[in-house]
Amino acid sequence: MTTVPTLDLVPIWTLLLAFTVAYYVLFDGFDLGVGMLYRLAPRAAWRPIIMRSILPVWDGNETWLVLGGLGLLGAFPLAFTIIIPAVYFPIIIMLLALVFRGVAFEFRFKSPLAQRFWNAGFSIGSAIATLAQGVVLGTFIQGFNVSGRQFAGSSLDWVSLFAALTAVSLVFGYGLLGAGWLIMKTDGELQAWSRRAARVCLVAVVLAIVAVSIWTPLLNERVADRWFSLPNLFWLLPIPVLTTLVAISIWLALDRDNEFWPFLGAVLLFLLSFLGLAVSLWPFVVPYQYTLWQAAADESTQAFLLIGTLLLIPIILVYTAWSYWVFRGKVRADLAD
Amino acid sequence: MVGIALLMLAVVVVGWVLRLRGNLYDSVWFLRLCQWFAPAGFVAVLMGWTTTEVGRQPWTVYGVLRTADSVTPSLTGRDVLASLLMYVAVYLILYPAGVAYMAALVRRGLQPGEEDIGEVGAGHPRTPIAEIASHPGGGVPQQIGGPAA
Repeated sequence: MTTVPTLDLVPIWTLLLAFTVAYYVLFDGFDLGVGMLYRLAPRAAWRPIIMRSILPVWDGNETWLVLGGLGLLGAFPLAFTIIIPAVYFPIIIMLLALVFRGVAFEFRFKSPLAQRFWNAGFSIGSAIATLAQGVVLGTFIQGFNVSGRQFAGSSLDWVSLFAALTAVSLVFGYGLLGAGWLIMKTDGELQAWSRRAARVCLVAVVLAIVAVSIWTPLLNERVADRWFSLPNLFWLLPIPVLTTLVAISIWLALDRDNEFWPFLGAVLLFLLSFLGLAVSLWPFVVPYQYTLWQAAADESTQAFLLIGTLLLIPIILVYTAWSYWVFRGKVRADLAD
Repeated sequence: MVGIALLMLAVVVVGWVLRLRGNLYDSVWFLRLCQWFAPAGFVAVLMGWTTTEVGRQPWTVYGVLRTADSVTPSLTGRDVLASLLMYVAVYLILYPAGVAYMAALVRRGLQPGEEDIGEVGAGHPRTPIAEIASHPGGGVPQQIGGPAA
């Protein structure tokens, strides 16, 4: 038997999946947030503008969910086998909500009679999908009931107070991203309203981050040890400090004329939270049970999948950037229906 | 599925011949035939899918993994039934609505040459279908049809 020194592909796949999840959360996050804000807009005349602000980009954003799910299945099959059954219902509810929300874009133009129905489907679908994703996040952080290489709990294990907290947190998080997006894409009174919405969401998001940051170490000693044991505390201190600074800077930007910082700041807030989560859970992909290396697929499988993925992702990113460039600037009210 | 695919190919070939002869848009029998062939793709897909899914039983991965062994252990029959009912409920709303909208679009028909899609940009990010639907008779992209030469 000859041993060929090979590259450890697990870190590459970990980064790829982390990138995919972060991309999905940030991009579909803002358009799900816009979807929820749609219904809250006090003036009917604003709603077509709000919907148009995400019309050219929302479906591209959503597709990253597929890459995330299949990347997990292909590269870390053991994690997929345990996690997906544990959140079977949240995932199915999320997918059906996304279906409703997706067709609303097309269907609502066609029939004035049914427009109210599809408008509601658009907003409520966005909210349900967000709540379901928050439940998945909360369930993931809490860890799963695992026996051997299988999920051993019931299909209702995801019902918990902590998951309810993360679900509501994500609603405000996506709301903040969505309001930030609307501040960039609109002007006048609609923009002023978006700033007010962003302020409400920002306060809730800060409270949520504090609550989750206190609760998570209480759930698991290992997480508490990671953050509060002594050399670590100093190394990790920049994460909460930066988070605080970013939150303050968003608040200040909302008061001023700055049109871009509320959104970019919200993105940073999400990335910092994501980093904090990674610090808490590293090196587990099935929290507290299986590490990324233990759950990884055979090296040849990972290599095979990597070739196609690494070829396609740059192409997708280029045409996505192009479409954002084509549709740059403010949504024009005079062209709305 | 294969039979339908061959018939669909035959329709395409006949269309080519008529186009080369210059009487594609005047052959009423052919246009009628195309109308009847509109759902053929759906039928073929459903047939093909059913053949694959039924044909591979009792295997999930042929010769390697049996369907009975690939069931998620934690999932109960009640879970599966509940999720199936959710799918059924959603599709019972979506499919009739989709068919009704498609029928309404077809009934309105395409009136060529009235209005262009216009500019595309931040102010005008419509999908082509929404464009056609919201301008009665307008916004028909030239390449789709119309009584061309």
